[in-house]
Amino acid sequence: MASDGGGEEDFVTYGTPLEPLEEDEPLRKPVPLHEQTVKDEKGRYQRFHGAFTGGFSAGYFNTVGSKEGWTPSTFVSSRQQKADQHLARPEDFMDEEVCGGLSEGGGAKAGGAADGVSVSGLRRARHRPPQITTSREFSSGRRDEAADKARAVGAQAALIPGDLLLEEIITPARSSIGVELLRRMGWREGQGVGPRVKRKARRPQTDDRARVYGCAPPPAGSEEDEEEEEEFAPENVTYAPKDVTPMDFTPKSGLQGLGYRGLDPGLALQGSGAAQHIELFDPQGGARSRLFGDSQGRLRRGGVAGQGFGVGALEDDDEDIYHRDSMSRYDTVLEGEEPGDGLYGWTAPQQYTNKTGRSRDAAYLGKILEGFTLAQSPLEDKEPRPSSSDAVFHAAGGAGGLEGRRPPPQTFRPFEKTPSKQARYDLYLGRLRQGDTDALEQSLDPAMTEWERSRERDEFVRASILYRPASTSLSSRFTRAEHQDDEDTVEVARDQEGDMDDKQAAVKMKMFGKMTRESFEWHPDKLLCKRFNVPDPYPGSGLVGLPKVKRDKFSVFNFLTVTESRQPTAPPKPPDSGKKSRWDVSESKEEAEKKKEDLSEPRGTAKNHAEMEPEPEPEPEPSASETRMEDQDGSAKGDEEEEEEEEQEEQEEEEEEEEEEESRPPMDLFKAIFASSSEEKSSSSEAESNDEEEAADQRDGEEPQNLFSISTGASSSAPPPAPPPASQPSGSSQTKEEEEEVFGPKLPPPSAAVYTGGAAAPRQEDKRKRKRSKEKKPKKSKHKKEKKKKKQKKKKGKQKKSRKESERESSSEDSDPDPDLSADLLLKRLKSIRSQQNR
Amino acid sequence: MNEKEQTEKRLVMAFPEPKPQVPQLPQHLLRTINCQQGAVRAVRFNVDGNYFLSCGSDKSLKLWSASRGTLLKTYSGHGYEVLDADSSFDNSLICSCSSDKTVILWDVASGQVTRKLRGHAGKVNCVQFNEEATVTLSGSIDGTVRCWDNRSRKSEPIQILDEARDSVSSLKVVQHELLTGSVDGRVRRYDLRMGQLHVDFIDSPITCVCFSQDGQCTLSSSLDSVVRLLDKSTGEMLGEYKGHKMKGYKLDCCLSSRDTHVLSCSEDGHVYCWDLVEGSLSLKLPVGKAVVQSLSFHPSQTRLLTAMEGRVQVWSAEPEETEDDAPLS
Repeated sequence: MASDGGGEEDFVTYGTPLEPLEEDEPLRKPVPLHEQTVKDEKGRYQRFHGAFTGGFSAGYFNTVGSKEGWTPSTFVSSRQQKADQHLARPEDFMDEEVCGGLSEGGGAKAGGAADGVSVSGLRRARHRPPQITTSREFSSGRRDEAADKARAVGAQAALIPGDLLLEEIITPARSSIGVELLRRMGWREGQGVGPRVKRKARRPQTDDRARVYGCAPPPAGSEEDEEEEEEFAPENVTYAPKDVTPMDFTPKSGLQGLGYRGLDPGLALQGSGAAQHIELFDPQGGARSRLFGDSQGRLRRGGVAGQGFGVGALEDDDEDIYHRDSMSRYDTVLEGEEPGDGLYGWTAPQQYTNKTGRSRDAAYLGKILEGFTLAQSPLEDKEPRPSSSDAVFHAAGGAGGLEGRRPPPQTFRPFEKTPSKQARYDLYLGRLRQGDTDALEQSLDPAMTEWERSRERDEFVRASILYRPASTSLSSRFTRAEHQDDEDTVEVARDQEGDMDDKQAAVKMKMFGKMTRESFEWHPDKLLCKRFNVPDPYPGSGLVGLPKVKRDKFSVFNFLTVTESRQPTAPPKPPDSGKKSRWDVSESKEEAEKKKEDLSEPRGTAKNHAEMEPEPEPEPEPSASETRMEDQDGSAKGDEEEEEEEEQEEQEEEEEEEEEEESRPPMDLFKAIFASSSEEKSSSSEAESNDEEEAADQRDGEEPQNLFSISTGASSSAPPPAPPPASQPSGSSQTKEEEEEVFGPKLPPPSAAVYTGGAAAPRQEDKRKRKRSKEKKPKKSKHKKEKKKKKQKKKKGKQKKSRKESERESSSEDSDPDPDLSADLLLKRLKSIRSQQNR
Repeated sequence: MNEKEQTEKRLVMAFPEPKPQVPQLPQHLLRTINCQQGAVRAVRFNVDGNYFLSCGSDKSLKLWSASRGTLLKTYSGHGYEVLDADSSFDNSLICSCSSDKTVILWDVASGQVTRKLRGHAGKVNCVQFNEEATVTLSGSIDGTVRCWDNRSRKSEPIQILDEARDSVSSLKVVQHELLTGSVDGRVRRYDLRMGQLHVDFIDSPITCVCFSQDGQCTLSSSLDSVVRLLDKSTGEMLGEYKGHKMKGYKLDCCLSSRDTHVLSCSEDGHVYCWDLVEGSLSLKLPVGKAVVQSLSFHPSQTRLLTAMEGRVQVWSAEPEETEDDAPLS
């Protein structure tokens, strides 16, 4: 990497680089799952038992334990064997492979240990070769310089100079991987760890040190130097954080007590060796400071200091015969952290806490949570809370009191009608935000009369309380609607399928044909016709698929299908932009027109209106194609509708939450339901009810089938709204069968016999395959569970249906076609087939 | 065929047949091919019946020589088990569909993926070329049939037929007509020429639909263990074939190459073969112990492919000598 060029030399690389990708290298296929096999040393397939349950080497033929099975170990008295009792080692619980690997590695380690591992380690290594240790690659090869330095200091301070050198020979000179990493990142020994800081932030630290570490005298000339340096220090230069002294755990040697220091040979020439301040962790602090090049002459007096000698001839007093400690040399107060990186924590530093006024706001920006401002005084707290319900919203806002949330760019403008007033209000809000105590007074127009002002004061205060917190807290919860709510129409298929019950009855009686056949006008795509080499059956029609009409969105019968058709699964786009499918409900022009209409009308009337009025049917109707079933009699329609309503109600409960969020009051919906059902009943009893309604009813007779015939499209995963037929031809067993089948027929399971094909190791292969097939099973059962759940939902509807079925048996009978006639037809058909087949 | 039928035939026919052909049934096992691709989900003859495709549950699609039973090519690229496949009229393209929600067009010779059609929201159950292989039609568990244009590189289908209210389990195209069977218990026939959709209500989930060779009838098998022959134009039932077991699995049915017999897979390990007119069971072909999942009838000869678990079996009317005939056809 370094050879790449000058630019990259600055970077530090970690790890081993990946091999460069070759452009024209063919894509290597990943090894398929069933080829990822593991064999043992004898070439037998190893079965994987799971990472935590044995890996590749669990048990006896996929079991736990041995040939005899798994038996817990029984208690055996070892009283007699106390002598040759051995402790269980980790290796006793390890697999052979692991042990083997260890012993190999251990050998390597033993070789490597010769150069660095401590004596005891060596001894242990000889004793027990496989041992888990930090491998050499993770221990730094370099020696710890700081430790060396510290050791050198210690050696100087020791009774016999150079004593520690002996120790050094036998102690491992390794630094941890963490140190190594840090070093690679540019860290140097003795340097503080953390983000780099500016000069300014660093300076107080040195002051601190001068004060706290009494025994290490502040560098004489360095302060001035620093002062100077600061002048020249460029702004963009950062420095490493405060240096730290590495701790050196020098083993205690000798019989002296803690804190004992022998005569310091270095001090002997310098004078006073009395430490002003004890650093607990650094007994050799003085020596080190010397070593680090501090100026020593200032505090030291000449003479030998330390313990062990009496008062010398050159010394004034013997105050230091025994080392005396006093509390004055310790810090008694926990002092605040130094400013450090310039960012403050949760509490403000002193220079801010005693400051007042607006400047704080600005100065403090960025150090407190975004979106919050500091308030100064709870000036508005005595304001009466408007009402309990409002208080809920204001709780977070704090009514401009202690800490108010900064509102988003003013969406609510209460005094928009009078711009000047609004401007004053904005000013007031702004000042309030900044914590002005007299925000209100300042923002009012002094030219106004006292009465006007007091009134405006009231207004502003109220407005700020009422609207601001509410607007923020609520707006965060709601998103803007993408469509206007007064789009009251949806597109539904114009031709609806006929009664299910009739058809089921027909199927039951094997009366296929008229009863079960329905034909619709269907518009193939122009391109599809072209590809199929057939002329477009509806040239010029922009439609694709089944013709659709607009229906009232909140019509009872459309309601279900509306929500359903909005399911997010893959809304297919129509191939041509001009054509529309039923998915893009809101984009059509007709929609827009409808919207306009509805806007012009009051809501409630618009809805009822739309329900009553014939829907606009925009598409041209080729008469030939209109082959809708005519044999639906009124009674069938009625029943059907009732059914729909029941289902409707059922589903409504599920959709209540959705409804609640809609601006339209749910009452309308219920009204619509019950109104139409009462109509339904009355229409059967009182025929003299107005004609218009009857006409509407007839149209509605088509509408309910929306439930069934709006195809769920891509949303087949949801149960279709129509419950499955109550009257199954083959009885209850069939329904039970179906309970597992919502998605339809499944695929037969691949059995073990599948895999018997000539493999090199058929037995092993088999085993693995069987396992695979086992694995597949849970998937399926899970699937089934889902299905069952859905089925349960469906059941409700089914029960209802069957009840209905019994009610209406009589009505369906009269609609049956003549059986003789169809038999004739059948015969005819058969004959024609036979003739064709003999041709 | 019994005497009654033959007399009837004689009555119907204006001129006597030179040699009254006894309809033969594929009752002799020619060979068993172990496909080595997991369970074979579908087996399909190509247009002329010289080759066949097997769709494996191990994500691979394999092309075999029907006469020799040798593997010619393996097509891998699906992300999950392959559920159906079809070959184009000129044997240049293969389409296959999979549980991975995609339809793939393959170049037969190179074995490369020509196109990967994405858009279905669920696994794709069935796929079919139209007659000129200009359109690929695929039916999915998401209840839609998507018509993909083979002529353009557009990633979106020409048209989406979303009339089905449940999974589309089967799909056939003949000329300008598209026949779909859905789990919602309806057989839908889209007539492109007339611009009409005919829906036949069967009630029980449909597992497979077929056109008869003459194009006048539709055959549909459903989970109530009944295969029904319906008149295409009126929807009347012409025949009902029972006796087999089809209650839970998506199994195939088909008509023989000359519309003489109706064949259906069964969960009891047999292929049932009924006389089309009589409705009587003429052959109960024991295939194995497991479920016969798929079958395909040779387009011209009396030859049948069955798929059970990982094996494909080739059945023929004559025991051995047909094997030599095969290359001639």
